[in-house]
Amino acid sequence: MIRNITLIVVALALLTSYSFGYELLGYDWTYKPDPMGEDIEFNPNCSDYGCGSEEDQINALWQGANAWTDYAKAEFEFTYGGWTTRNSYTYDAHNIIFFSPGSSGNAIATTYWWYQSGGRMTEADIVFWDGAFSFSAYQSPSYSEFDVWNIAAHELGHVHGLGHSSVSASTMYAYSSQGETSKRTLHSDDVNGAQALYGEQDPFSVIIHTDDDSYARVFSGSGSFDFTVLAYNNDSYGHLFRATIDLVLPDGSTHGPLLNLNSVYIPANSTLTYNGSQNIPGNAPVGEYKYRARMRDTSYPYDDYDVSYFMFWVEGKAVAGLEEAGEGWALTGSGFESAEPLAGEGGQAHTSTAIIPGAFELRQNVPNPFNPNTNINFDLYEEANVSLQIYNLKGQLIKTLLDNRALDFGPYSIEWDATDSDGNSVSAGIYLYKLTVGNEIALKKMTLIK
Amino acid sequence: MRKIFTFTFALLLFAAAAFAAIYPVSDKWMVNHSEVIVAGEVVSITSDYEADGLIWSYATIQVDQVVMGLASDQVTFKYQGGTVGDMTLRVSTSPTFEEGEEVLVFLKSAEDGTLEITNWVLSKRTLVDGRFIEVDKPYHEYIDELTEIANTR
Repeated sequence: MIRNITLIVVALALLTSYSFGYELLGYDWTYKPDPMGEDIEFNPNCSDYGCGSEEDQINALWQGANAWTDYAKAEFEFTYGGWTTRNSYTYDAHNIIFFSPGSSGNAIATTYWWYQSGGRMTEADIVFWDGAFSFSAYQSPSYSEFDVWNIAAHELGHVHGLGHSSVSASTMYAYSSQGETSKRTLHSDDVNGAQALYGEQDPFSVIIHTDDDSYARVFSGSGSFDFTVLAYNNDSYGHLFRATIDLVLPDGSTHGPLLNLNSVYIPANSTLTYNGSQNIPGNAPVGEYKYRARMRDTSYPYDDYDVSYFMFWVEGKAVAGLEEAGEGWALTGSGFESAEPLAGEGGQAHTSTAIIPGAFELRQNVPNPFNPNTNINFDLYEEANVSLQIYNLKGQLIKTLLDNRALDFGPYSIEWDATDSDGNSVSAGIYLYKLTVGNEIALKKMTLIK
Repeated sequence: MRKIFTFTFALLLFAAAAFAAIYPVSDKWMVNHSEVIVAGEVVSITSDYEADGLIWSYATIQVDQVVMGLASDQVTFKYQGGTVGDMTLRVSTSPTFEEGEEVLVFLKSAEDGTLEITNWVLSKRTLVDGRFIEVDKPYHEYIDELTEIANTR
């Protein structure tokens, strides 16, 4: 009989203090002068197929950092520290994220914090253990992969100084799963935790993103991308602000503004949206760019309320082209005209305990209903001999997918193509799949439609 | 280390309910991959920098119960993290120990011949009011369960 996994936060929690929901570790960066923030460097050395290019990895990792910068609205921000080839979590005054092909038991990712008396965090490094688990830096990870963005957001919450939350929908909840992407953005409990540590930002904030955030934005010469800017006003009064978009070029210089809206009115407790399209000229210098949105004071135009940015890359030989055609860094778009009221954030409270699983857990097939292929998924929490068989409702054996096969621990997905043991397609209807692990059996139903 | 994804025969690895940072394993797995399992009180902890640049701690347990393996009255094992002078290293997947704690630990041999925890935070069970809180089981019941697994492996 299957024992459900119940989870004990206690075993994982690194407690120094605790309140319902988020957890403060007791060491953080609050001793730093304003504006509080830390550079974090990325080593895109993941060897998994799903990690894609180095740019894919940088984007996914940076999105994990951006989850906190953009949504926590706390007086602490990660800043992009660039690429690194460092691959050690020893104390070296660099905050880094890297992938390790080495063995590390069952650890998926580990954060190493270094701190001194008074809880003054001085360095934090994150390692993704891709020697044992597969990661994806793409928009939609498969069932077999851990999402880099999702995991990075969680681990970077640790780097803030947050422990595990008891709110199951929060990014800082102790548990995740392959294929999960829901923790990429923050829950109100995560926001509350970050703000409890670092205080709340000015009531104005801006977020810029593209629709393909987790894909590499690499251009060979000319190209274009679409983007969206969201401006928030959490104040109880309406305000005027100045919206600008500019570029940080590969040599570190600034180009622009490409957009300069001097007097945008944002009502109290509202959000404004701007949708745009950015052209990249054919003679753009090769290298890494930051595409940056600023929300600024109208009276003191160089005072930023908030800044948000993402990266893109131009590679290959730069050629003359659109610049000469007069298009250059053309930006087109519209918005910031109608305000939407800010929505409240809800959350699912979850008080959980426990942790050590039984031998296995059988999950519902995906998709279900199906035609004709479906995946039967199960987790194995120890080495075991495993059988997986399909039956019809009369109890007749249709097909054996696994026959007493010796498997190691891990998650598995077995595909069934709705054929019997002779390779013939079976008729529509309800079927049973039976998983036998050692002496234990689990059974579930699935529906084939035609 | 083997990749768990190398299994063929049309197997794909699926979304498991897992720790954000640790993939869970059963007690049987822990027993099968450990050489020593003991329960007792943590009586001392020392920490120092090691050759890998990390701070490691050495915890010594006054053994009350040997579940498996050869163990004397006191067993010392190491784990990542600890405090040296003014500097502390904490490791998100590593357990922490405190002097006076009553614990059960799963241990294996390290490359340097010392004992180390078998599998990160899953290597520690904490005894509070007569129950191991990670498994929510009374002391003797859980010891008996682990002993039975150890005897049948």
